[in-house]
Amino acid sequence: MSGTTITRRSFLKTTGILAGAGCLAGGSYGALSAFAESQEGEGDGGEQLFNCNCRSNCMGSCRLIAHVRDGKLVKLAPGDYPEPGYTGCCLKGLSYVERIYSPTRIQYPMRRVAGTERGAGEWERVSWDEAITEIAGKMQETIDAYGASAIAFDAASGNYGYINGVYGLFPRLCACLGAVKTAACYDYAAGHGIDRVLGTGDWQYCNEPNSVMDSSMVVVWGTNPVFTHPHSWRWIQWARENGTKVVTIDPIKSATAHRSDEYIRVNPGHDGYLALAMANYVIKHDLVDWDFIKDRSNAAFLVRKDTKNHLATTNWPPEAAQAYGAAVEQLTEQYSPMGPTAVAAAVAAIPVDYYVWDNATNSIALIDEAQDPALEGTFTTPDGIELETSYSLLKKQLEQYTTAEAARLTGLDEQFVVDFTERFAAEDAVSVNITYGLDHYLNGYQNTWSIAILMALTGNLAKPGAGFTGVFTTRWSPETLGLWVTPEYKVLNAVIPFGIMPEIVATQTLNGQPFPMKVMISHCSNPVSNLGGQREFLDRLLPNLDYYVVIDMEMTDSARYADMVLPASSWYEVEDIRAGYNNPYSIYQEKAIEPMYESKCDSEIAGLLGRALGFEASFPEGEDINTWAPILFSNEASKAQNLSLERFREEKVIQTTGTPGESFITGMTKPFTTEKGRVRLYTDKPKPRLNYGQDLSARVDNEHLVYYREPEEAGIDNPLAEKYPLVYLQEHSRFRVHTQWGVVPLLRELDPEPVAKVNGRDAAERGVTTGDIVEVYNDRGHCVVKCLVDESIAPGVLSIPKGWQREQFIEGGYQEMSQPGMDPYPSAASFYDARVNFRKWEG
Amino acid sequence: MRYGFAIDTKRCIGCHTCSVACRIENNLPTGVWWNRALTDGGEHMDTPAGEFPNVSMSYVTVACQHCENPACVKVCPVGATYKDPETGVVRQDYDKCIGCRMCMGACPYTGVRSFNWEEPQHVIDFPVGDAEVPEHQKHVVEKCTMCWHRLAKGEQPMCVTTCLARARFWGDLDDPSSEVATLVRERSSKQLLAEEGTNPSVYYLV
Repeated sequence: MSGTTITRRSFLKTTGILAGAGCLAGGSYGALSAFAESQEGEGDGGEQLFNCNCRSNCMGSCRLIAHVRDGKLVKLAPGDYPEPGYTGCCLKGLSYVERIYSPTRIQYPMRRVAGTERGAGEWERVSWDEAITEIAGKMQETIDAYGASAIAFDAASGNYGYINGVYGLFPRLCACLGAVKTAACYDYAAGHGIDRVLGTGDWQYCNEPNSVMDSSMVVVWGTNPVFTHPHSWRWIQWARENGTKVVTIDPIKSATAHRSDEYIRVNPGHDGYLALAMANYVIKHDLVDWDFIKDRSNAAFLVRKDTKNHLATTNWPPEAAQAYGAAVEQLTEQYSPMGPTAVAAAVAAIPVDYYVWDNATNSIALIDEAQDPALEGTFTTPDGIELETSYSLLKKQLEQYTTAEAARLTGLDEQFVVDFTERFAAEDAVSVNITYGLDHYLNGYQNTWSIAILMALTGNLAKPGAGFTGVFTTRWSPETLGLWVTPEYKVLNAVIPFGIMPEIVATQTLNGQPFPMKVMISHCSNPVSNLGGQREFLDRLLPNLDYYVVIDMEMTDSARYADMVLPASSWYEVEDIRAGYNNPYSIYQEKAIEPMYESKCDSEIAGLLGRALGFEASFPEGEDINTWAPILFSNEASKAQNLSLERFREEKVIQTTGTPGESFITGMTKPFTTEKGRVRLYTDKPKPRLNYGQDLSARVDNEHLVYYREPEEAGIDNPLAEKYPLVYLQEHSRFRVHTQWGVVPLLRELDPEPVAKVNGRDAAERGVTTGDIVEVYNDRGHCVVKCLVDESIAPGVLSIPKGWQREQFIEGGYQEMSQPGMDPYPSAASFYDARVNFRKWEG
Repeated sequence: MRYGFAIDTKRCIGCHTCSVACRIENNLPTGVWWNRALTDGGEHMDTPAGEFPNVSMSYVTVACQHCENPACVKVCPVGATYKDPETGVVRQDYDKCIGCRMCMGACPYTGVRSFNWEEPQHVIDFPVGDAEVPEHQKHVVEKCTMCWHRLAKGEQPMCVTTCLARARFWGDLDDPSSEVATLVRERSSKQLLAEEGTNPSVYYLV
């Protein structure tokens, strides 16, 4: 479009053309592209247009076009994706303008005034030189006194840029120092549980969002895409318009539940039991998809009674076991100079095969050689090892889970559970839309593990329209590890879950051994407000930490308690690249405007600190994306796609996962990476997500087969229910992503303050109504907040939407009462596994 | 020609993206919303009517209805509010407006017009949104312009371009082949307060 402006007079001339264009706009989904704005170069009235993207940890990753006038970003508008169904952005993406020009944005480095309390809010402006010198000095003192492992870098999900976000350059500095790169603990239970069956790691379990167009049923299980991933909901809505049934299972009658064909109300925390009872019913009533179980699962794999492992060429017969042992020894020797990761990769590459019982020959055979593998039964090897099939063990394990108990725990009628199971099993293709509602309990991974088993038994995996949706992630990964490893590399300790940091810092021990921890740097992260059981951080971590640095754009809860605060650049002030969430693309970020005030991007700050600490070789002066991008694109996965910074600069958006025009289906588009590519009814080698030396000896034998575990607090039988009768959820809102956008003025006009949402009956029992100030409390802490009677909330549940800062409450904070505990297998935050009570606040 | 909207209430998720897009595109002052996502349910935003679990909730977005028989135009003593004869868009001439607010009183659709009692305030100290948007003035009534500045460039209103749920459609209701006319013809629809006889150019598909 030319840069000329069209006046009111010339408008009359263009209206005829407009009417014609209107006729063309008849696409099936409302063809936006017919009216798409100019996406590149120059816009109207001399505006410059820049290709950008939103990079918070929401379930979308929107391409946005930044409009810049006179060096100022004046507007963000949705940018097109090749698949128009993925184009669009929400109110948060659009309102980011007010984050860039926020009246409360951190403008320059600030030091807590000496002698004042942390959190007292007294700051003095310092120069970047002073700030870097002081931080580097504190770090060096700490290294000299305690070693580099007494320094921790904390990053969560505040920026998904590869150069300046959570991957970025701070791990490079961390590795040069030999410091601790703490492992984020948010949302890891869901993937950990599903990995037990699908082998899809922490994040790669979902199908592409457009896959629901092939689903006969979508079960939205414990999530609210209408609020939190509207881009995925859009596809579900379109599927629904084509006849797909949409069912929502949730303790809250969410906005999604209101727009579904069916709402199934359950008590919080028992979803895993429901799925297991359904799975048991499926087996008992022969609703199993036998073709899938026979051809695509490890049902026939034989489990050794002695070791609880699969009978495989790694362990049987003794000659094969010996040969395998020798191969492992040789590779370990060969690869150990390259580190434990290289050794593990080499060992994993040794071919392994699995044995079954062949009914045709009544003998043991390798799975691919057996004519009629036995799915059920107990057998013995010629040398006397007792065996049972994986399916038989699962079947026995599931027998304890009854529809009657499922009904008691969830609050559903038993007959309904039976009917729903029969309907579920009869569907052609079920997609379970899942993000992290089920994840946020101490039994979170058992919840999703149970659902994955149900999906496997009913054959709802690895075919069009079947599987999980909700968290579709890139299958291409750049060489981030290459960014972190330099000739100055010492060690990168990345296995300590951030969730146990309060314990480590408070006790200066890890697993009972001395572990000094003195300095922490948070970037892309606001742990005070995001970590469950906030007082753990405030009362145990902070007082025992010598020095705390926070890099951010706003004075978050974390920044307020820091000793030094550094101003971060916004996404639009620096060049970067991100891979998509819930779409198959990777997107280029142009620098649209100059960094505001004295802000700097994360990679530049890491460089300043790196050089101040003597790592000039790893952080050469003048480094920028031109230095780092070639490293990012140096791996085979990137070369195979011919990816380069130049190509991103030219093309802006590149499909880096799957094939244009198709839908990526996990386990179908690419085979599962499980043993023999089969989904696991029995998990041979269950491993914790992070191995930080925790003692799992009491657990390990029970982790092969799916099982139910009571939630820590939320369960209906929990004795704490007497004192704290309400399960405490922190539903996610439209207006924030975690704590981001929490102080955007425009959004606060729509959603001005935190509220405690309760059912009318619970409010009436306490003599409270909408607008009253209430105290929500448990033994961990409290907050004082306005009450909102909301009949979408079930009796016995209290919800405070997530993401508010402490200063936005009358007293306390919403995160004080949430669950700080984590299960040591997924090491995942379990916020919702908490109970509270509330009462009218008398001041 | 009669420009208007079709809004699919089965698709609308009440996400406020249209409201925010309008707000920024038109550089609206603090506190002013020309387009609002209202909850059809309980008294408060995103709360349902009824008692758990027998509750209902849906959304309706409301802005100027660009009526074919606009009540506002009839009462404006100075001709500041007028219907564009070419397009049917109900327009507001800030320079002519004397701030009598007769139009606000006459309009049956509460809240679609705003009056700048004071000098318009903005969080950001330079104009955001489109450069062609007229400056906001004190003592002037304002409302949705159907993004007149965008129509002039051959673009759709910003609320339509940004609709996340693909619920908003815009075009010429008089052209039977247009998308909006087709939707209105083929789907059940309703107009807000049809009994007022204003014949709004906004159709809610139900």
